[in-house]
Amino acid sequence: MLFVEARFFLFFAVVFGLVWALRSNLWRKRVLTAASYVFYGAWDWRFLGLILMVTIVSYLVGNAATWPSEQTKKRKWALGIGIVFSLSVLGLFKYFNFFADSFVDFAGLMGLTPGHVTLNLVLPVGISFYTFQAISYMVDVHRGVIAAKRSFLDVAFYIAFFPQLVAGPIVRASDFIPQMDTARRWADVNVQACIALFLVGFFKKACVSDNIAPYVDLIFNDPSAYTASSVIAGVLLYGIQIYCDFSGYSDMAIACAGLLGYRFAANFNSPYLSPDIQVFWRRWHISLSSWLRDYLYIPLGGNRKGNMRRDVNLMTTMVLGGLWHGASFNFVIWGFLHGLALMVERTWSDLVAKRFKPMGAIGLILGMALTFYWVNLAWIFFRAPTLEESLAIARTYVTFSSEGTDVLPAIVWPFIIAIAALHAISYRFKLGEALGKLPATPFALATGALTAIALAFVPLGYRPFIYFQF
Amino acid sequence: MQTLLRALFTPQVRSGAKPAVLFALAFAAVAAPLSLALRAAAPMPDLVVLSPKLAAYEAAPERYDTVFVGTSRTFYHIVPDEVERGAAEAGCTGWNVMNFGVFGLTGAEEDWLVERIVTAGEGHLQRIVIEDPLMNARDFADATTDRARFFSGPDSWQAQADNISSFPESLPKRLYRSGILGLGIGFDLSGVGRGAALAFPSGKPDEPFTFEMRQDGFEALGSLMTPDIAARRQEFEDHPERFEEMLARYGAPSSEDITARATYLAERLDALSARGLTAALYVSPDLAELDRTPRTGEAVRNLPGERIVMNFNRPDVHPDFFTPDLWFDFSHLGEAGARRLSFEAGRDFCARSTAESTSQEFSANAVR
Repeated sequence: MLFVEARFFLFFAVVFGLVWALRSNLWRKRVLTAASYVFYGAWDWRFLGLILMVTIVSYLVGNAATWPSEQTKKRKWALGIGIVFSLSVLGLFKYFNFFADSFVDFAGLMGLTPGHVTLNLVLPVGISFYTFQAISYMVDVHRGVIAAKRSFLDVAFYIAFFPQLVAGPIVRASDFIPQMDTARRWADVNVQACIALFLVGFFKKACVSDNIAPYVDLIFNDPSAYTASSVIAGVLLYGIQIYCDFSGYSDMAIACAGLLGYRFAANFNSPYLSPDIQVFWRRWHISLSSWLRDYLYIPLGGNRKGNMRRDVNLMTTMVLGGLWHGASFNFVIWGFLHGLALMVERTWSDLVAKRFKPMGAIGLILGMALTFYWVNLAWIFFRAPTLEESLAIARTYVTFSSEGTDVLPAIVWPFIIAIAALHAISYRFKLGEALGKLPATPFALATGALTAIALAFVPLGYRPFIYFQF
Repeated sequence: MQTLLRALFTPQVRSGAKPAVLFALAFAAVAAPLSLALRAAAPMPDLVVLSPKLAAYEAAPERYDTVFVGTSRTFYHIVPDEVERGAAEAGCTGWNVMNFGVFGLTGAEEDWLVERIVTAGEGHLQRIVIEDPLMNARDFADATTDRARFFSGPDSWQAQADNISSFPESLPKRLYRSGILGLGIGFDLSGVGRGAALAFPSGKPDEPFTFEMRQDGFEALGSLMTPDIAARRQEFEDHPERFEEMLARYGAPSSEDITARATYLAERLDALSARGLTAALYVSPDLAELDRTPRTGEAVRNLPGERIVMNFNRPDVHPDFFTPDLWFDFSHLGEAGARRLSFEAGRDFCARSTAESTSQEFSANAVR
């Protein structure tokens, strides 16, 4: 069930009506939890048991934090078991075949021929998101950031809440759980802002991402057939596609949660206008990057143990962040490229930038261009099906040369420029927010008209969100 | 129950009623004209069988003077060469016949197609044979296909309504079909996807549907096997007893009023005749429709005025067509049956059209 499908609107209308009709907070949570399981079951009901299992373990490990203080060691063991369990679930479904294949390849290089075991597993939708949320709950409880929930329903609700269940944002337990303790008040819901945000997300996903997806597929499926300008356009289009797809989903998730009375933090903030990679990561998939920072980079030592250790921690975090997306060396390289850029930036900052006067607007634009170029170079490895394809596309992207002759339709370049302009204007004038602040009547008329225009540019056919595969 | 009622009339719903109405009005005010403008700018969708046949006809209308338009019972039953042979044997030599059968052809589609054929064939086309078209879609999924959408535009509304209102069915069924038509029209007017299709052309366009016109539009059922066709054949082979059961339905009393349908078909024949064409109604052998189409054909014949009706779905008049070995499934003849029927159709059409023209000449002379 996609946010842009008619059946989701029907589903949401029923849930919305029921939730706000109920006065009891307990019953609202029951309805929302049940609805979330229905939502997830619409993809594959067989994996409902998996979410339930992750929830049970999180609940038990959370309650272990309430054991007496003399049992600190046992509490740590419980937390360790909980984290290992969550990561094992993720590892089994997502990484088993990757590591098994890699082990066999490595053994082959050593002249050994071990037996090859491959599991025929279907990747459960959203597994990376809800396992991370489960870890967030267990760790936050054991750190004392939030109290363990005595109610199993609360933990189940937190992990399964449908707006963020399958593709994030990764909502921190410490942000969400306090919200569920009191009944949400309709008066606190900014309906117009939520609807405006949903429309913005819908536009990004359905009108932009879904329209350019076929062009991106053409290029990445057969890059050698295309001219250099088409390949470069294809790479840039993928950068636009993944941003609009994922941030569109996040916008719609935040809007849906908001209409039900729950607040999620923003997951994107115009990342392609970032002047450097560090800022990019503060604006791209914010919930994951901050999760990795707080639960991985800082526990590894962060930047507190010298520059060398900082760089190692950075690279470790980024490579693991790449692997979080999927079991492939391409994701490792993607993470490596970002880690490398962060290390170079820090070193540049330490050794060079501090000694010179800032370059002002020119420096900012140069920084943005360089960051955008590098981010798109990394996207090649994120999107291409194989390492060989990635290298071929990257070669064209860097050298501007290709032996292919096919070209993409002429519309792609004006489209890229128009989207870039819209991105900048939207960032500067906060168009979505401005729409949400209109008086009720103009708002209703404007959203009605904009929806009609947007619908005309929604391509027909089923195109799931890119991040569902993660 | 109380909770459900509260869910329907929450303060949120009440306070949202006015903005919702305004939203809907603004949506309709923008979506409908936008959709119509984009519809006008969009090319006709590539429709299986229909598009390649139309392209072939419009490219060389001089090749044909006689066109059969209808459903799969035209597509799989009318062999142009056999029609020409039958006509020649009856004294009409030199006919050039085209099979313009399209599976699943409904009333609105037939009207549209006939208009295109008559317009393109002006100066060449002399005879046109139409079939009683099918009822409108009865499946929700059918409301949103490219074909359904193309025929849900304002130009087709009247024809769609005529087809539904004339078809001999119960009121609930008509309402249901009207509902699906309404859904299709709503979907079309919403404009969904129209701008996207125009603004983002496919990088590598799909291969257009092609159709081998070697047999002037005819295709023997079963010569191209699809899972659906194979299943229909299998069902026919697995249930031989049904053949006799279906035959028994012929002539059985029916409460269905076919007057409106007969008038509907007669109006179309008369309109074609008024344009100087020899028009005929062809009622195909069809076991599944033995309780309906034979009566419709006869009702058209019995209406005041002269019309050519070739009613082959009458086991009492054409018993040769109703032996199981000639049938592919319960609605369609196999190739041997199609050839026999086509020869007969050519002979019958020639005889009747000659008789009609003689009668018209006689009437004209009598008046004079």
